[in-house]
Amino acid sequence: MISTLASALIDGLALSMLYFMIASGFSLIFGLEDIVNFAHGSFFMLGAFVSYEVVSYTGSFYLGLLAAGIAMAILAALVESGLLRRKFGNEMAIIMLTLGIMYIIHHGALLRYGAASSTYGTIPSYIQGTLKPGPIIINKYRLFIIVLGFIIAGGVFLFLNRTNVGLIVRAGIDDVDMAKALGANTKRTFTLVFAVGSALAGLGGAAAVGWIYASVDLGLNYLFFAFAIVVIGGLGSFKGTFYAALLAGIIHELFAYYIPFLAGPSLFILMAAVLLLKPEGLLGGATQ
Amino acid sequence: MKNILELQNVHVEIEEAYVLQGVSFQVPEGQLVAILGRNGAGKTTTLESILGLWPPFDGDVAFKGESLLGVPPYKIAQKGIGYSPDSARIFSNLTVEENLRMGTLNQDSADLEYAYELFPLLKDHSANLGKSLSGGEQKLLALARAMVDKSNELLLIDEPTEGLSPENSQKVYRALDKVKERASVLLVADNLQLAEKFAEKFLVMANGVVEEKGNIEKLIENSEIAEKYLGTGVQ
Repeated sequence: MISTLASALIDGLALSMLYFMIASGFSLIFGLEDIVNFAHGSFFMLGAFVSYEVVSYTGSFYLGLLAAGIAMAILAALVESGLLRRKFGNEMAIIMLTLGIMYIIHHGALLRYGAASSTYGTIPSYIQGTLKPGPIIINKYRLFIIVLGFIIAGGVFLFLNRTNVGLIVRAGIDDVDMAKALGANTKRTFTLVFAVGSALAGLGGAAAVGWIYASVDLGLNYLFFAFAIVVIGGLGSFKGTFYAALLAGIIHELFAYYIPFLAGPSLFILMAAVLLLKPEGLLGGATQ
Repeated sequence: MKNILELQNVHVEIEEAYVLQGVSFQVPEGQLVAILGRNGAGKTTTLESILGLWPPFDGDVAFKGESLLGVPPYKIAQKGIGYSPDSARIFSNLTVEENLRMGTLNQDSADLEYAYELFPLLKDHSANLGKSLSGGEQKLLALARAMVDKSNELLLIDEPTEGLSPENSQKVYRALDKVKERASVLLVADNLQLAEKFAEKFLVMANGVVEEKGNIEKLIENSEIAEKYLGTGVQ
């Protein structure tokens, strides 16, 4: 009984961290730039395959993670500065552009990988297998995802709250024109946030490969998850996104262990409940 | 006397509304120029067009002799122009201290003491979120944010005492007295007394054009100007 509950909570926390890694960037980009980036899930999926390829080629798991983050940051910076920036203020054009990018990445990946799922051939031995403290069984790789997620959350929190660029990001989420009028280079900040947010998605995708495998479906699935979590947490709220991801991941796995047929829709049930009780989301309007 | 700011025949459209229809005036270095006018005269748009938020489609805006046309707003601010909008527009989810730090982006290190000297009550609230302040306090914070960077040579201040209690208005008067010693000011005055108390020059706007301008004495001595363009109780 206790071991099942512990496993559900560990798996739930691990899933929460994957949710957080994709949703935090989605939330920051939406909050600062008013962009619903439909390609964000594709960056998650592409990060998974970039990492899978790099690990297959080099045998280095950490190089795979790093490559996924960097590749998605570069791709996103190019997309933002080369395409989206020209259409800022035109919501329909931004939607069509990001939808187009999503389809290009999706079908490109489908051509290359088909419908099959892939996982790492090798990961470091210390994150393979399980830990067994008493009756509890803990999957080491899921523990690794939890640690990685908390490190990233801490890093982003420090970035937002302890740096001038973070201050500009939070100010920009409140009132971007006023931030400009005070001397903030919001154009550069937009690109940076777009790149960092997409790098987090790529890193999340890379981390997912060792658990839920890389597949083309990841893109669309995780886009929906990110959207729901951002709504639950409150649009543009980093802390809200973190708490929402925690809640959503743990609830999903508790259902998966105890009432499996409710696991799939649990995220959207949670979203509906939050929208009914607190339409602005858990921490709507808070940017820290 | 050199002009720190010069607008020449500035025309601005906002979403197809022709708001500024050829505005021209100067702000001499070290002076405070007050803009007066009824609601909708184009006063706020004038300030925002100087900042590049509503770029003119014709005419020129020059700061220290250099045209600001085509310069992005953040670079205009970095040239040494501080801005306090009429509706405060503080960052509600940032603390008071963080709001003030946003006013020091042009400095290598944020020195907030000057802002706390001007408005001591802000120091007591420095760790509080902007949205927790009262409306009047938010207005003072917006002013402090515009004034905190001592390197700013020109301040654009929009209706600083509108909606403030007499006590808070006095705080604004004292702050204006202090910043006038080191910076030129273009002030949208929400009442005639504010202009008469602080301005060396004035201009009256109506329907997107400057109808009257001159030394402040002209406004004080000629009550017809105020009656014609401002109306009793409007400004």
